[in-house]
Amino acid sequence: MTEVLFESADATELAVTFIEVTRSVTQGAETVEIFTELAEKCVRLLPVSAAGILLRDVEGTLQVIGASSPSAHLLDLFQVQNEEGPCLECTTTGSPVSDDGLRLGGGRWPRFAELARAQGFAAAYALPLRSRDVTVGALNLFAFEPLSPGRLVVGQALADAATLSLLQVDPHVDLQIVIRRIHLAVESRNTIEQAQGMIAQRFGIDQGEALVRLREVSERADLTLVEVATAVVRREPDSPVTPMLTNG
Amino acid sequence: MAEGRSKLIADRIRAADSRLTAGHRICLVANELLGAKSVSLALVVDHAYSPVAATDNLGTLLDDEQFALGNGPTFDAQNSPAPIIVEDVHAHRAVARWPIFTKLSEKHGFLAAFAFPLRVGYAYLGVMTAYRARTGEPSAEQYADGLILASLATAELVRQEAGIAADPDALEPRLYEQSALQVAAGMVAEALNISIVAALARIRARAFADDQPVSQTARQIVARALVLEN
Repeated sequence: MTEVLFESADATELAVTFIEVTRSVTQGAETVEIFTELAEKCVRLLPVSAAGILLRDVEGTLQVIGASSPSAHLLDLFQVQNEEGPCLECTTTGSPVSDDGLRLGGGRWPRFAELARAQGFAAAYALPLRSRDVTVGALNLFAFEPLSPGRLVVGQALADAATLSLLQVDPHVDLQIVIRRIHLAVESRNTIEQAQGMIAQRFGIDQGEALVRLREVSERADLTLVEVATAVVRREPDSPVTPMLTNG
Repeated sequence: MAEGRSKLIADRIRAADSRLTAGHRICLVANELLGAKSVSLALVVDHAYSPVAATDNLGTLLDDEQFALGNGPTFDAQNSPAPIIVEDVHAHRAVARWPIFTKLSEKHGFLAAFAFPLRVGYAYLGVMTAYRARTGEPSAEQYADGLILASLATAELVRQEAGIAADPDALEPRLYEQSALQVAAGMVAEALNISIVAALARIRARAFADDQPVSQTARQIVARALVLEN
């Protein structure tokens, strides 16, 4: 019996995803938001337990730009891959990297595997964000059970959607634009994290919950997440955001 | 965008004249890598400007003029999300936006300017400006180098704000690699009712006092195991 590599439901969902991403880009949505939505889509679609999209900045550091439910532990798992792990290998070689034996111990990346096991993950995947021979980052997936090759094809299609939304231009023609976009995405993410810290402190919650609140405000106020975060950090008294995030 | 580039640039800064401040050395290396006539570093916090370092008097003078007049790419870069690249100061758009800056260029012989905001997230600390003698955009490599240098300069200014004695050997190109630091800065800013810049400086100072990497102090703050007081 042959496995159906690509269900028609997948095709529909992927087509919708590409349309959504294109629409987001034309409406000026920031990379951080597009990548966060894509990460969440991976969790729902593939399905996996956690997903994150990482980009290499000018200093060669892998930076998490969008992630599903980013707890501090999950972020550690992404960031340790600046030293060892599937994302480092993937962005260096430009090829997909799989490890579905995390529970076994040992292996190529002991520190990474230890952190992954502590969160109960059995498998980790890194799929390249790549256009021709330029790899700008990776889609990082974590699951409690290994994914079939068919699901990984869907995962790569989602990584390709991320690449298209970021690049839009041929990286060989305008590398400066790519560098600039990645830099802005990293700084947008930093701004959001600063706002997360302020909200976490204000309400006595953790950073993951703080992000949920910021996103709720973003929906209600019809502002981008970065706009909301900026209003929070700037302590803008007249912003519609302010009364939505006041304590008491 | 080679991974070793950041280290190479840091090494060059360390290898520069040891009698010079870290800021001055950053300007010298930037001058060389960006093909500039003059490079300046300006500290701008709460709209207050003060010169930090420059390759020569021209850089400082051009920054001074822009801040005195409240007009120019360096002035605009103080809270710009992205670097402001003026490939030709005599181009129509540039003249319309910054008329007096164009007059300055005629007087002092520069034809292009690249102003890099020194920022991390929404913490803006100042501007690094490269003034060039000929027109033209930076190459992709120069643009990337500019961002790396701006990142190093930002880390240096945070150290200055933290009151830590300048130590050019302790350059930290990956100061902002860890997410925990930004979340911690937000928490401290909220708790003490200070700016993110001030919060970053406080965390930096505390890490120095505890002889710990900044990322470790940041994690302790995020885990609420460490609380910074006023």
